[in-house]
Amino acid sequence: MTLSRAELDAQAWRWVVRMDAEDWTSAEEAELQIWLAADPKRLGALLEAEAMWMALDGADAVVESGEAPVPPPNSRGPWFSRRTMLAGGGAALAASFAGGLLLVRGREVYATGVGEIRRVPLADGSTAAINTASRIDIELADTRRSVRLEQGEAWFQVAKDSNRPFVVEAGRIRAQAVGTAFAVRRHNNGADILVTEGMVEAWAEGADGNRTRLTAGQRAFVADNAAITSAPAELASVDRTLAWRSGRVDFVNDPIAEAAAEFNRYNRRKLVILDPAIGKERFDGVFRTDDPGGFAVAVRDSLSVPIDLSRSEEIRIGKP
Amino acid sequence: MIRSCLYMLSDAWRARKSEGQTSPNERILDRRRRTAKWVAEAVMPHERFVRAWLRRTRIPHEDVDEVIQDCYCRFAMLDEVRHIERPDAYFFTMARNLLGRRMKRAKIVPIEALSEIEVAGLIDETPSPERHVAARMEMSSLRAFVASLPERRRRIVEMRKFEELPQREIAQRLGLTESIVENELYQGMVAVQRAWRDYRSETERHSNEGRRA
Repeated sequence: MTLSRAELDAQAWRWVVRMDAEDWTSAEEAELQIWLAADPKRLGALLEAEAMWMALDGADAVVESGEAPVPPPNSRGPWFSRRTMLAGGGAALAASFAGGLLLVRGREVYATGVGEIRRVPLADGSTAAINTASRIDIELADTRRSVRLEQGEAWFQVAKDSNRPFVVEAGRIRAQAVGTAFAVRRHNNGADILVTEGMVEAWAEGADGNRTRLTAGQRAFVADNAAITSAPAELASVDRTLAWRSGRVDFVNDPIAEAAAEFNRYNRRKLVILDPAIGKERFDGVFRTDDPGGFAVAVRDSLSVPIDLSRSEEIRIGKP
Repeated sequence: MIRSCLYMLSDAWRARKSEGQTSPNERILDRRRRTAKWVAEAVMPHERFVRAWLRRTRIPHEDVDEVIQDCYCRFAMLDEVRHIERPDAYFFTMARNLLGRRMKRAKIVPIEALSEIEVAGLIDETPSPERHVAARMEMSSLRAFVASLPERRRRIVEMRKFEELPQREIAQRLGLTESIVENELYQGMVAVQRAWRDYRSETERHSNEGRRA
């Protein structure tokens, strides 16, 4: 349906004003997406209205550069500890000056247990979200920010600093960004890199010539032998792959065997599929990472297969 | 093959979300706000110069509007804007590309319109002080349009935008329902935008006449 310019503007303003009221729900967002999908012009009209709305309160405002993350009011814990960490860094800095040593560097190691997911603010303003059973070693030096992913998976929201590239090392694989957001998952024979914002360069150590550039929404597997397999990923699937950051796993048409393997990354109580035919069935659903039982029940109900929840160390799916 | 569709959102997850984890919904909203803020501060002030350049290519007036409209659609599709160092140049380049495509489709290629040299000159030229001042003045004229709204509407827009009161609080203070406040804001902003567009086409018409004289 094509609207006149005046109608288009008016409808866009309805949305902007509604969005400005409190409690913008995901149902409203879904409704907006439907409205937007009808005509590409709507996206532009919405942006024009939203920008004008913001221009009004910024008539005298100065352009802000860089966004300092504002701590949400009820997450005092981690922020408090970060402040302590910074204070500690300051003391270390003072000490190093006193000793005539100008080597300023901070080094931090973070590890997560099975099922644990941590979000860590880094001293340079970046954020790391560390997935289950992972370990990262962060070193923020003057010329370079390096993160060694020793095990597992992590997602990084990198604060822009063109003088200090941000490099993630996963075994022999390297992924470098200036200011962007991306995830790296380490495997036995290489690493998966998934970019959510900006651009990332990835390569295998010793094969610097064979670099791949990934932009938002792209993913690549870089093997230790420097072979690169890249594929575009839809934004929706990027969000799904990174659902773990909010403690969820999100399956869309995934084989049950893979879904079970995904759960098993997060839980000591393992899912065991006794019948390979069940493992090949496809499955959709969103679950909490720590709820393999809920997943098993959902499989039982939708495929009419027996499950056994009586053991504490595993959950069995299928006929024994 | 059996395909089952399930959506399980437990209360525990909702609770975690409210503790500061961002939902996809908030992320979308956030990205949109970031882009809008950037457009408000770094792109919109240059619109008049891009329009002026487009008009010089002698394409019909409606086409100028459409190219500009298309540009905003492209901006809206950007995932990230921080990497754009010169938004004005970006705006010009995008307008030029969209114009070029449009002309190819219409099978007209006026040499003047695609003069690389002219565009390069516009883009490389750092914003002159006059240009900067003009851009700011234009943005502040938005406030003048607010001032000419009917009394209650003007007051509500001012409370929301200049005094930064949330809609709910405005409703409480004025003893109105929230939906009335929302509606007044809506009516007010539609009028402000219309006044702004009229004002702009008026000044454009004048400058065209000036050039012809």
